[in-house]
Amino acid sequence: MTSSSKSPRSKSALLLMALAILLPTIMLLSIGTGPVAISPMEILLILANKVGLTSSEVAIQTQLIVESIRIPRTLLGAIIGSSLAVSGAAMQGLFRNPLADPGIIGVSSGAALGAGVGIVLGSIIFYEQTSPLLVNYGVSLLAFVGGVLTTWIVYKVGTTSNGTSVATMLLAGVAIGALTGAGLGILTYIADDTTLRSLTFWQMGSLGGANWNSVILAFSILGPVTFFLCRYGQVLNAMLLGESEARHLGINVQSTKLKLILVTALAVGVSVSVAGIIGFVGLVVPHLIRLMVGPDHRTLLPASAMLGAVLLLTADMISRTIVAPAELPIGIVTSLMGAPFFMSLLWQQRKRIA
Amino acid sequence: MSVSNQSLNVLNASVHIDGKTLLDDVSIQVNPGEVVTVLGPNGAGKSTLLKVISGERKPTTGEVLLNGRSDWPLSQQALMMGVLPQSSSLSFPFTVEEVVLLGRIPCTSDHQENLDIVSKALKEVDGFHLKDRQYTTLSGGEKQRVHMARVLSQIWTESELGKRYLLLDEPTSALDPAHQQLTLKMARKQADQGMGVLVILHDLNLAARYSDRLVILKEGAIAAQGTPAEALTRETVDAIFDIDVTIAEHPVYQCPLVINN
Repeated sequence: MTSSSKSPRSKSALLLMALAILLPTIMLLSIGTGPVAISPMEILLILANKVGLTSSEVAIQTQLIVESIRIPRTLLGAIIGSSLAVSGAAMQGLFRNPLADPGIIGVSSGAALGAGVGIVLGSIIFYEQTSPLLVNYGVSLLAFVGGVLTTWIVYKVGTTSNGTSVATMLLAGVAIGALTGAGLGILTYIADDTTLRSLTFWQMGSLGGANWNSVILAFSILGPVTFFLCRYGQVLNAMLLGESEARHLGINVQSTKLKLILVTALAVGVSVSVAGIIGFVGLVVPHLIRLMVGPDHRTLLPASAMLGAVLLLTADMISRTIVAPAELPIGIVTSLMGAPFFMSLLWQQRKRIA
Repeated sequence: MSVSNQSLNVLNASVHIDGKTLLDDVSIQVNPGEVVTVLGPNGAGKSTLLKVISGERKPTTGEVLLNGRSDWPLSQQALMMGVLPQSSSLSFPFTVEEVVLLGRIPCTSDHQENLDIVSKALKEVDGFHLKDRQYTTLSGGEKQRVHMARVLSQIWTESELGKRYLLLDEPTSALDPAHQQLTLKMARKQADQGMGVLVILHDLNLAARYSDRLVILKEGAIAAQGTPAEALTRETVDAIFDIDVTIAEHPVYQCPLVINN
């Protein structure tokens, strides 16, 4: 075979390698960025001390900032960026439509409504008697339920045997957005002051609430979920041909659909419950990867996972520094970057959509 | 007609939906080495029949036996049965080679072998020159041929599970006359090399020229069947398709020639 038949594969391998180098670099930068700048060397030293490789002197204040603020925030940003991007890619495969994104079709707002119900009801019923980690899991569970319901509705409304109509899908997203907006409005009305503040936070998206509890919650669910989705590459490739065609290729379409809807909703639900609505990561990242190496999900999924983390950490560094000492919610940063991008995609595809 | 574990059998299949009869007690056998063509006017139940055979739609009554069994796991059925649908919606920018490679998903062969098979399958449909093109930029006919290559590559190698069958739903609908002929010749060749082929067609002369047997459906039931010479008579064509024709002997090949009056 000629080099042309091998090039897609080697290009994919090259991209995955580049991302595998880029991700830890960005993570180091993210840990170092903030009101107190910390050099990569210092961070590495602190990490080495921690695992017992070295025992050098580091200022206690620096060590505290790194361990209890910067590392949790960076880890949280990385795992949320990964799972949003991977679930966006998986959703686009499931809907056979490159414009599907958890934020655009209403899954994020459905999850936000679920989380909102959890926060408000939790504050009314439990006050602060239960452990925060347990409350977090409860809120995540409700966000998951909200996410599953909305994905299922949009899928039912928007999908025919010929695939998903972009117009119907987006309109379903609009309808669901309106409905969840009303629901969140009602919650705002009945919420007390503290709860109101956290409700506002969900809707803008922020990594500012990162602590080891949210990191544990996010990793315990999003880690396995991302890994699970990455194994669906070949199946999603077949699904792109159409449901009948996938079935003819030996794939159990019904159970695959169900699993993918549940797992992507879980990813979005948990992300929303710990960091609020962070839009467009699931749209922009898979699209960039497709531009670089094509639509093969076997590369698309793992590459999206890594680039999603890189992108969200970059957005978070911007959100932390652009209006320092204050902080711009990261959801605003991703929307500022993502919405024009989405517009340009619509512009390119306007003939197909009409 | 004897059921064997070396054939594809539809046994008394009926499909009723909402009080409508889509398929009415249809029995068909496709043997390895044969091209069986299903003809019939629009709405006669041809595509329903294909969906029943491929397992996409469960018949209300009756059953389908693939090499003697009706309960193959999907992943094993995929090694014995390739299905070309009427049209496919694929809107992602795969290369043609990648699309055809998707046909190898159920198979366990290594990447290099898959690439070889993909090249051979593309050559069968006169599509090798499209190999590195982006699928979404192809014409309708080119896309149809690419999917044909994909389905061919899926059942390219013999399976130890049983004989292989190729199901084609109007494979010539988007093709120019040259590629219509090429496609039917290719189907004939696959049959001669041991596959069972079931084709849905509209062109009576293409069907007569390349098929061993014809099955003509009308309103969900079999209205005529047999060799092309048996099934295509002036009376049946008039009764089923409502067209006035003259049936002549093909001047070159041993098959009837349908001439519109």
